[in-house]
Amino acid sequence: MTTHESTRRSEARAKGLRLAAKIATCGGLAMAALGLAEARAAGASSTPTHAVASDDAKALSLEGFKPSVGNCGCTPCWGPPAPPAKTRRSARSARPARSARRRGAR
Amino acid sequence: MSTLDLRRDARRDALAPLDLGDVSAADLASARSNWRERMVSEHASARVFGELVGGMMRAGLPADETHRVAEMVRQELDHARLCAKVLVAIGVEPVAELPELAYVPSHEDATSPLEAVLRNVISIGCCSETVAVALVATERELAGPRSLRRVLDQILSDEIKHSRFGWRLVSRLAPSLSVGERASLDAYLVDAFAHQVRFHAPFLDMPCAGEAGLAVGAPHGRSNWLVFMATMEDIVIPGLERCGLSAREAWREVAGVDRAA
Repeated sequence: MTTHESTRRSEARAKGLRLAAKIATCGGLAMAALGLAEARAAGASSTPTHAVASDDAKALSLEGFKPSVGNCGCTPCWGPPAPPAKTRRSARSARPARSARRRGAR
Repeated sequence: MSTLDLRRDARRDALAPLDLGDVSAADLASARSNWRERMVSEHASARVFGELVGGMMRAGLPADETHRVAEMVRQELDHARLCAKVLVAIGVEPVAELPELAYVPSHEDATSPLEAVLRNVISIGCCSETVAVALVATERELAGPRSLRRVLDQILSDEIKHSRFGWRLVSRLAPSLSVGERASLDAYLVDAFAHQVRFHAPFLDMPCAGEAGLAVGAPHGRSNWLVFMATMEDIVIPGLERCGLSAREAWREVAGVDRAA
């Protein structure tokens, strides 16, 4: 992997995020989201050598989100999920109980 | 299990074969696999929009919005045909197994038809399609052959419509939800976000193609994962918060659960 390739990927990601931000947001929030995307792009392109390391490092630092079970990405699963049966909360105050259940389930 | 065979579709206005001289064998295999999976995925996603039409009617949403969603069904099927043309251009028959497809939930446990349809609109339009816009736009920037960029432009222009539809509906309708509807919808966000993470986590196990491979559609798994996470954290979560939903709390719960696992 070269610095040039990493920089190109960083710039491409920034453009992709900028477009998504434009669509998804409105009013003042749009500027905030665009600013975030641009900040990521600027950081990558102004320090390309650093960006090579940070590219991988950032991805690895986000690996913690990876579920230990139930990874899919498969075609049948594209679309909205059904909520788990009989565990729906009726209000946000029930959040702690739900969290505990979910942690236990994994 | 049935077979998706788009050979006839791919022959109409076929793309010229792409020059694959600089692409390594591993990246070419990865690109072929990616385009084949995308062909199947685009085809199958048409049914998700089809189901959305019924939910929108039950919720009494405007007829023009329902009509747009019906058009999205056709757009997804067209994307599959475009992917089939690319497959032929990179030397692969556009034939693949179509797996058994899950039913799209109608959310009978929801507090109202409006909340039920908003669950699906958020999951599809605000989450999946917004992530798709960021990913396809990124891929388009790295694409090499002009014919491939044109295909990605067509797909991207439709994904933009699908994402915009989601944000338009949620920003218009969420403010009118009752306290009960909003609480139930907030609770669903945990499920919707967890599903997004599960669906996109395989990026972390994907290979990372070189420049020549990226130019013909081989994925770069880590880069795609960064796009997914940035889209969720910088765009989707703030956008839903702006609509009055407790998205940040739901995302924190998903992140906490998965990091603790």
